[in-house]
Amino acid sequence: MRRREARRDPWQPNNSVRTSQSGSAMKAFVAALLFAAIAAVGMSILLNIIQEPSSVAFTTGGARVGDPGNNLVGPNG
Amino acid sequence: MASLGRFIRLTVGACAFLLVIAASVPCKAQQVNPTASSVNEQQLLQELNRIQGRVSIPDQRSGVLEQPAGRDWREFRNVTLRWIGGITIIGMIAVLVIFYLTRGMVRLESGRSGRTIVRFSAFERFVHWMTATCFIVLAISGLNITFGRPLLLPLVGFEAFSEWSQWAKYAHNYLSFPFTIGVALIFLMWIAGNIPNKVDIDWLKRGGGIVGHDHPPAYRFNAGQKAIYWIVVIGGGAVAVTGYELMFPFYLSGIEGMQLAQIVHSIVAVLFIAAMLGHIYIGTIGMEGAFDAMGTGDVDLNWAKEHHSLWVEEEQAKGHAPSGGTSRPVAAE
Amino acid sequence: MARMKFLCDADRCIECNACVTACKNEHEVPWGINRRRVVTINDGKPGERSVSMACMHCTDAPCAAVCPVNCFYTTADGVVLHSKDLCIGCGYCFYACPFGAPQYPKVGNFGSRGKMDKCTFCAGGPEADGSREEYEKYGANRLAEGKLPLCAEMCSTKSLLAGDGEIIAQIYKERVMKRGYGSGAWGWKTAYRETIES
Repeated sequence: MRRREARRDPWQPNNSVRTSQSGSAMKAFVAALLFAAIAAVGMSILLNIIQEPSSVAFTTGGARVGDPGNNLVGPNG
Repeated sequence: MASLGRFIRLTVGACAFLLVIAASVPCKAQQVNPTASSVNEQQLLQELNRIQGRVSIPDQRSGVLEQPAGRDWREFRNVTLRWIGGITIIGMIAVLVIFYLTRGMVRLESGRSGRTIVRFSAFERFVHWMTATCFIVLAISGLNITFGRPLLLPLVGFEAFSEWSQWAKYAHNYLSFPFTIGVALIFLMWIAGNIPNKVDIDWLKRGGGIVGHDHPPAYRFNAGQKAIYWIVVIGGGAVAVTGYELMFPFYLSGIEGMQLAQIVHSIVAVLFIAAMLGHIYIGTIGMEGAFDAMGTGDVDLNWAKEHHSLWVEEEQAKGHAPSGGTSRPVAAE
Repeated sequence: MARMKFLCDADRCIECNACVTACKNEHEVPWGINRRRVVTINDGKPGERSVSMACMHCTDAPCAAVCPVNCFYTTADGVVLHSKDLCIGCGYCFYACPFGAPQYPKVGNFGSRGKMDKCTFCAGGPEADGSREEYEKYGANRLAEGKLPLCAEMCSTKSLLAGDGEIIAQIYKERVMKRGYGSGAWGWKTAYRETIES
């Protein structure tokens, strides 16, 4: 048996219905920026770990592969 | 015996002399072309549009000797793309300006009721804003690659422009990840509400409220919003796939594939930017009460009834919205 | 004024790679970067041909045209050089180059592929001629000393010629006339939009 809903004037506001999200506007936006920044930084760290310099990728086993130094590649590698 | 030695020396010397004379005369009758059966540059270019061979270097890609397709790509990238991008983006801005000056902001006819209804949850707004802010940075840094050199470089000089472009490229490559995550979440979150149906056809026929002053009914997302949704999902997907192909060069394709990836990435991107300018317009100054949806997440009940009447009815039936008949404006104070 | 060009006589190249070794040694080119390479077409089959290839220093260089930061410049001799300080490592010059001259120190293109490196016609870069900084970034500057590129100087069969375009075209024409055959100046149509009548 279902309980009957209490009679209510439909023209009066129904205070048990959630009609506003009270101030989570800025929170959602800031959270979005933060997540984007953290994801970007995280991916940059991850990708730079798997980055291969061409001095390693394009040498055969017979070559003496060491750090070629900064010569011709500049300080940024 | 000395005379024999002298005789031998004389003979050998004479023979040597004759040999030198003979050798210096070219023997045209015996000319042979040892490379007659070898390949020819023009012939190879005509057959394959590239010339490729074997190299002893571990980087096998260096086996491509010539790829003249690079010239066609250069023409596209420097000329064609700039025209397409310029016309679509400036054209869209012009259309929006003219539209705003003639039609103005779409007003709420029955005025604000003072009561609100929840339109987008916090999570939905989080996903939207993450995707949107990433999009803005990606758009600016991407446009810098195409238009920066002719437009910005003359203003700031070489060193400053290179430094800015370096950072812009880092931002572009790394913010692509949260952007892609956002597009994927948008696809999943809102696929249910964005399937086209008959209501959309009717909505479009009646001008959608933007052409003319009608208020055709709509569910949670009207036809215009569904168009934006699919542009974001399909366009976003296309730039993501081609973008990652560009970020991992030659992992999936050869040089023609890389050129094609850049072409697709840039064309889709400029069209995407033009479409999003329209979306930003309508969500901010184009329509009264629209920004609330993504700002606070709560929209005015009258606004919802005017623009998404069928959605309001659904929400009332579910008990998510205050029930009531027609909207009533707030009494003037 | 001289207009510097390369010409590889494909009928003489024997794939000895002396040009590659000379370049690598002179400029201390690191592993993985190949400024010059020898490509052998139809290797082992009748009609095998080898061509030595590096940057051709094109007229209207496509690399310079597509660079988003405009880091290339052409000297008065027609040599196409670039500035590694301005380069952002985007990789576009490689897509545009018909000869695959640009080389990058990194394989992945996230952030940057590193500073692009390529054959400089032994003419260094924007830094002061013969300075230590110039050597560290771009290699030796032979042109400033009045010398020609080392790859052509070291070629064992003199198939690779480097120098003023008119002079080397003339040398090539004389060769073709004397021996009676010549497959043409490989890459000249694409790079300089001219051919050598043989």
